[in-house]
Amino acid sequence: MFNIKENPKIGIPKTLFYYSYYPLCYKFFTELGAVVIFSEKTNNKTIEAGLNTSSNELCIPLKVLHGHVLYLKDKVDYIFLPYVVSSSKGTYYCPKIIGSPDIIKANVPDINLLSFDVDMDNFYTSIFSSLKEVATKLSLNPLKIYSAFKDAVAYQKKFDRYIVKGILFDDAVKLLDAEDGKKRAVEILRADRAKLLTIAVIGHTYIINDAHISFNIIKKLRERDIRVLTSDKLTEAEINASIKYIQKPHWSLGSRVLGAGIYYSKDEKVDGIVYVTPFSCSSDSLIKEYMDANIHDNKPILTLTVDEHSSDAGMITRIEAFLDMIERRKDKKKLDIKNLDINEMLNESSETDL
Amino acid sequence: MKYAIYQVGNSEIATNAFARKAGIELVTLTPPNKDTISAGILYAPEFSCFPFKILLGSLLQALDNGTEVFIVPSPKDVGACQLADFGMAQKYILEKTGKKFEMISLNSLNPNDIVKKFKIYDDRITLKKITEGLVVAAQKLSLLDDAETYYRKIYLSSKKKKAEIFRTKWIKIIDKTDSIVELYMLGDKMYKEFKKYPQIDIKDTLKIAVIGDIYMINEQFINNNIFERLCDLEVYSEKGISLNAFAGIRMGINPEDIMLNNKAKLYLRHNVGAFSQETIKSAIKYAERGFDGLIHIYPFSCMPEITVRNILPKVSSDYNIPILYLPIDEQTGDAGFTTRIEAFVDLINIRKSKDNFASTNNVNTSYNNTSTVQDDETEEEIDNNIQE
Repeated sequence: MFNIKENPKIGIPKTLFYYSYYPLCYKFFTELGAVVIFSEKTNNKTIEAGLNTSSNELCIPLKVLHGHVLYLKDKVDYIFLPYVVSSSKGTYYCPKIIGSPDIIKANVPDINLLSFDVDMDNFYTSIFSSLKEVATKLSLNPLKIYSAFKDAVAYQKKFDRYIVKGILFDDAVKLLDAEDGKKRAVEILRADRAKLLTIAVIGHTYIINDAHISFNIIKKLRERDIRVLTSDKLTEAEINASIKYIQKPHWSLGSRVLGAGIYYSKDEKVDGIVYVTPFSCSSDSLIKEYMDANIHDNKPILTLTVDEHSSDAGMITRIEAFLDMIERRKDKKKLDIKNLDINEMLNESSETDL
Repeated sequence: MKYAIYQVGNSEIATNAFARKAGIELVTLTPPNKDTISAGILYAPEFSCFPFKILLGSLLQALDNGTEVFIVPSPKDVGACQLADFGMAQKYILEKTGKKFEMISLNSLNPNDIVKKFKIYDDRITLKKITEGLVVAAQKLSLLDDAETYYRKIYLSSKKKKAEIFRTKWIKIIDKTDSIVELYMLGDKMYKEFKKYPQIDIKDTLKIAVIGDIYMINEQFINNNIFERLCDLEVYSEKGISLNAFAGIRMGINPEDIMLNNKAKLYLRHNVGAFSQETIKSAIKYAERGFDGLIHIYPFSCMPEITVRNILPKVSSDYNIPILYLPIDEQTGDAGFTTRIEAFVDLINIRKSKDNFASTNNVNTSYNNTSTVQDDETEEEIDNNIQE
């Protein structure tokens, strides 16, 4: 079925699970002697190519996936795109993600996909057996597989540590290969903590970390001297602890978003939450109902719906208005503590201002 | 205690029978209409799927009619479908209205589980009652499905009025019969009466199967009476999936079914939720049975069916069967719907008559050969048009 090649080229699209597990796959394949090629970062070309090949009912991440696959198609021998089947008991990934290799196969003719089942419940054992299968199929050196996998897991765990500590995805990628990575990470975190405002950006990892889809929201916030926390930062235990008292939603990506929302709403250091959701994502729409009912301490939330038609200017306006609102709220809180009379005066003056 | 449960199409007959057997009082839900839809849209999140909005609307109405306990099926084995989240999300939304109510979410149709959940509200409920209720309800669902099939056949062979008389008569009988033994006899009786009507020759008529989301197929108001419309156009139609699939009835091991399963897995390796693999299976099944076309109807923003919709074009080209895609939401207009179905039926008609022409004139002359080549080209064009 597969031709034997000495150094097969394997393409990894920069979307979906690239954002959570790229170190693992990258290290594993390169250790075994394969050449790993990533697609370009999402840009207008990828979106356009995706729009032309997929049906218009799909959500933007899936359309973008088509673009990435088309970019890689002629450059590599195989494109790595696993079936992410199940997660912890009773929760599921979105149907479009589970079926994404099948959708790609149906929409893009003559495509060479490396697809196999990955069980997210016991991720490392499942992906080891699956990667082993792939490696033998590509006739890579079977003796090396175990050591390569060990290295890959260590590499992935190093990456995860950065993320959990609060380093953002783009920085973590840079720090991962740097020699003085730890030192620089500490510096970044120290500088972050000194910032006055903290905003939590929550959403699916392939949306908030994709600069083009999310309109660079993380960078925009950081440019305004704001500390950004993401939903990726929280560990599984923290997520589960925050949704312990409600019926767990059916979606594993959704429960991460919901857990992060509830967790950050309780956190006093967080001043506001920005929730980025793709257009026509029906799992997120129900998660929003869960969130509205369970969020604490009327923390301000900005919901941004993104698709291929939304514009940069509109996003900036909304973010700026949101930030203004948070700053005014913060000032008011300080005054509240200092003096109640001033608070009353302020209220009167604000009414006359209007 | 007054209970209310989701209703789809004719399912009320089955749930009422269940309620009678189990000894609980059910509030009759008004079937979906413009009011329930607009009420549902008012409260439901924008991108939730259409069935969620409609069911929410009818639950809101049930709340006004004095429902105290909602029975919400949230099966865990439904896969990555929103149905499992319907209950909780609707609870949060209904709580905003300020009225008090309770909610039972049924994770499976296992009678033991159901008894446990009902016991909280009612002591008189026993395992025997619940099991009997489930058996009767399931039997009624499959009988109702048969009645619908006979209705469509009689409609085509004789007149609409006769078919309607037949259907209303038998639905009444099914509704009234509560004994299990009699229900099992009823199927035979219905078949005997159906045989008295003139039969249609299926070979000559156009055949279209409607596949897709189970709610959309079985709720007449939402699918704009698609089956009757097809009957009006003199097309024999079949349901890709009927309500008894929901009741979890599996008729033993079927070798044909296993073959189909394997074929469907080539297109969609995992069941991505609800009846997604079932849709691909039925598409292959009807293509192999020689149907002339398929209509795929699904709600806007339904995630499993959109996954399927992206894969079906490949099935369509591999099995050479035209498919019409009809996404439905609250803005679907009546006229646009009819136009599309009529155009589709016309196209299939042209395609079929050309096929017949090509097969009857298949004498090996050079003239005929060239003409068949041309025919193939036009067929492809038609296919492309339909797929677009």
